[in-house]
Amino acid sequence: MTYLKLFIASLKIIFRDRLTLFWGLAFPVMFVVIFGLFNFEGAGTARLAIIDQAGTDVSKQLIYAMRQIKFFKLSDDVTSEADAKSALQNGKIEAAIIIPESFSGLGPSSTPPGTIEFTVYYDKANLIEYELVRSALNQFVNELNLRLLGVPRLFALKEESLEARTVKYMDFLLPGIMGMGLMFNGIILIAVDMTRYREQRILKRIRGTPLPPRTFIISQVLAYLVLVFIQASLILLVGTTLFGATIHGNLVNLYALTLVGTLIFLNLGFIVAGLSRTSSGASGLAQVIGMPMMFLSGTFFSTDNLPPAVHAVVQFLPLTPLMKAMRAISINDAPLMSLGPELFYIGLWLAVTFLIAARVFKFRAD
Amino acid sequence: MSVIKVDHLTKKFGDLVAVHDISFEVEQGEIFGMLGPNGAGKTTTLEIIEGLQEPTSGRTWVLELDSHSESEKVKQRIGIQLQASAYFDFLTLAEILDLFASFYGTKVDADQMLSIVGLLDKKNSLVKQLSGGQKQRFSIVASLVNDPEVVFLDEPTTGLDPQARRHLWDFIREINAKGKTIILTTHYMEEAQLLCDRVAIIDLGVIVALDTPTNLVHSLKSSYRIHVITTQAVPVSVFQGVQGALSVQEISDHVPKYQLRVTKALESLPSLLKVIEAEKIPLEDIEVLPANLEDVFLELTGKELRD
Repeated sequence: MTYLKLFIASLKIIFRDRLTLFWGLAFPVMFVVIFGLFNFEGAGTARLAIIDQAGTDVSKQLIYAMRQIKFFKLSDDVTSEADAKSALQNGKIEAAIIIPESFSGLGPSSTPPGTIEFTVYYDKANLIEYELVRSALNQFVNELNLRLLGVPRLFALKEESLEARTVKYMDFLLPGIMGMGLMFNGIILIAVDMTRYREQRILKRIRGTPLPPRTFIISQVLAYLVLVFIQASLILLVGTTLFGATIHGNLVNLYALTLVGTLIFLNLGFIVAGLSRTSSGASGLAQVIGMPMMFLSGTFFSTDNLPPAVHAVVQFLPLTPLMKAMRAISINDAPLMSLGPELFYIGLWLAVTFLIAARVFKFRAD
Repeated sequence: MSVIKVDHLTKKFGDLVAVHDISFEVEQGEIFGMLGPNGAGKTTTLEIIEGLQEPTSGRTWVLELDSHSESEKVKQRIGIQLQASAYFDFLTLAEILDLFASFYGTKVDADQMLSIVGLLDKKNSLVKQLSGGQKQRFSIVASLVNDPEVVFLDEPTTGLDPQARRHLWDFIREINAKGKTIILTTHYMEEAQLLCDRVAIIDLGVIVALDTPTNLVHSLKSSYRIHVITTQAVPVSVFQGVQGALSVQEISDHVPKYQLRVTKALESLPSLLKVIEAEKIPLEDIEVLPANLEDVFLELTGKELRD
């Protein structure tokens, strides 16, 4: 009863505040629209060379699969690794995949001598193209691995979906924008709201009633989850209807990750509110935390392109595994089971931020 | 029955002693005032009794319940108005009353409550759309959603014009007439004098006097103030010889004006008139005023109540 009243009141507060609506809903959608209008795929195709040093059935299958992806234009005149490098330097191609000789025909029973490494050469100026090559290649490698585990039926099914799939930059971008949006909603909005409530003595006023602070906080969190749910839906709706993006994976899993991820950033928001005296201070601190993550954790580009030293740090930020997992679901239709490491880090961050928030955030100012 | 009991309460913020070993009791049905300048420790005392702040030492009880160890039970039965309104920006008055009532697990007739304070036509307005007086009235009515037995008002009329203040006093008397005990803080001498049954005068965290307003004034050595208004300025020293004059000071504004504090006006007036005649003081007017709590505060602390 009290919960329901508070939840509805919190929703009213959120949806009557134009500033919250702007940052919560309009701002992330604006990103989708701007990137959509820029049309990063305007060039149409990425030129790709595949140097098949193995020449087996499976390697031919890979080449065939890549050919089916409309985004890639395979340059057949590049036939050696040296050719590929010079073509890349001259800007004749955007990326090259080297299939190693050790990539022999693999049957369910054969064991590989070790890990077989594909080499991908790419031009640093064409990160988007590289990203798509990488994603398609990853998919292929995953399927091969699955096949080696002796799941032939699964392989057949997967191959079909790979053939049909065209990964566009918009497909890559949407989960990124969703991650960015939920992060800012979590950190900034809740931190500013809570410090403002404290400045305005609303928290103190509530402490003067028998209402447990926990009830108030949980209602707030639920209301923000609704905001993020609407935000994610808007991003997906605008991205898919206006800019032709496709969500290849399971929507329920994608939403579930979105909401669980939001909880991490709501915790961070409560921590920021606990550390800040004023709402402007909270807003500043929240941005200091959020901005680097927005750029480094892979909103617009994959974190794999970062310098190793930066990547070593960035991969442990809470947004990075979240975005990775969201992309894996959205682009590669990855099952949750295959996202073990990402889910582990997400869970860890959730637990750690919750424990810190519970210690740091206080209703009282003194 | 004492509704509020404060026993040797002390509150320190670091080295600063905000409240220093104070004790008092508030009786059932009283309007009890804490009068003192800003920073005297009134709000701190009030918030410790409410259970919102922890005391450094000493104990407080409300309705015979410990305000800290039994704070949940206490909160159920008290109503709190904080200094300056403290309500959500984006909820309407009716929604706020409804929401706060749900915190106590009860329901209220928001229309009826708002009509008591003449805010029925504002039921769908936001708090920020109200005037200062309306905000204060709303903030008091919002402290009544749980039909509390004790109502805590922190500076209920600060920032209001005299008319709005008088309106609010009437409203507070109405609440009191319904049997609710009221404890309030104020730095307005008039408010304490006209509204409160008993007043604790507080300065620097200490209660310097506690009694009914009438008794407090009667305890003064200087029960009256005589104002002498002249057409031309004269030296203050000429009034020093007036019989029974405890102090003399110039309080000119626009016109020359001198104030004498005296114990008995009837003894001092003839002597004053003689001085005026002897010194050929160009007299314009004489005012005789009874002393008030402001004078009590001045006599007890040597300071003016207003800064």
